[in-house]
Amino acid sequence: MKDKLYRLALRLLLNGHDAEDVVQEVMIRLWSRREEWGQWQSLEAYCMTAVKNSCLDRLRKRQLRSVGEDGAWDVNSHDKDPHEKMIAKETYMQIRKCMDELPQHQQMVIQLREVEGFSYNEIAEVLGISLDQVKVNLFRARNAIKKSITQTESSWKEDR
Amino acid sequence: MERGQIAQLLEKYWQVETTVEEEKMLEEYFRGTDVPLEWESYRDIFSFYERERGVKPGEGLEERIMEVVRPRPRLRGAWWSAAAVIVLGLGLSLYQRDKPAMKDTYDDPQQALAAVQKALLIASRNMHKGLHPLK
Repeated sequence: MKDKLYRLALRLLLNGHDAEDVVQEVMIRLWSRREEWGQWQSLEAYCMTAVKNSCLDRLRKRQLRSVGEDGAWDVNSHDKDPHEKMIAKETYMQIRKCMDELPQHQQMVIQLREVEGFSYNEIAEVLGISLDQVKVNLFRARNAIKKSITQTESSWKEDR
Repeated sequence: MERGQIAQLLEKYWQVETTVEEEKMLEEYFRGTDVPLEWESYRDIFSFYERERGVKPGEGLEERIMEVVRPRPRLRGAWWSAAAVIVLGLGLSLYQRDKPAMKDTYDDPQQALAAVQKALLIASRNMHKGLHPLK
């Protein structure tokens, strides 16, 4: 679960250090409320929501301070990557750039569905939005990424 | 899986009509080597997500969380016990020092034995009585 929380935080904050801080904060808060665990429907959904809220809070504060973060992804976490050869670095960067530019809800929906394999219901629960909103966001995000990558690749082919 | 089926699944995928299982099938297909050229960009998208799934926090994070969460030994209790042992020890040694040296109470060994046996019997009976409520 810790890894999923981290990936969601990283998606939103684009900074490995801050993402770890958020996960630590949420896990410790979770531990301090362990008497209540039995009453919760899903521990994972609770934590994902807590991570989401904490990240959005941080992003708001960042904007207030108007300090531009360097946006450095945690490069170390990609070191031992078995899929390295499957996808060219420029393509990878292209998709990531496209994802970074998506509206927040689309980013989160894509992250929870495509990366973590959550059901529509789970995503709606975590993000506190309706099923229809989940699907609309996913539709827009999937097609934005498709458009961005097919356009780039056809322009590469024309260059050659 | 046949190419026609994949094309159908892809169509459903872009329309947000696929189930999680169907999306796994697509991912599995694009992991293969015989992906036609016109679908190469789709393969890139699916491998992107697969790669993102491998992103993990640094190893220090778990340690930092456990540091806060791990139950610590009850040090305060231990200190009190240690203090109690020292006080008891001191008290006993003072008591021993002040006590006069032991003297014989019986001249006849038989009599002494009987007295000891009687004392032991009383002690054992009281022990039984004392332990009874615990059972």
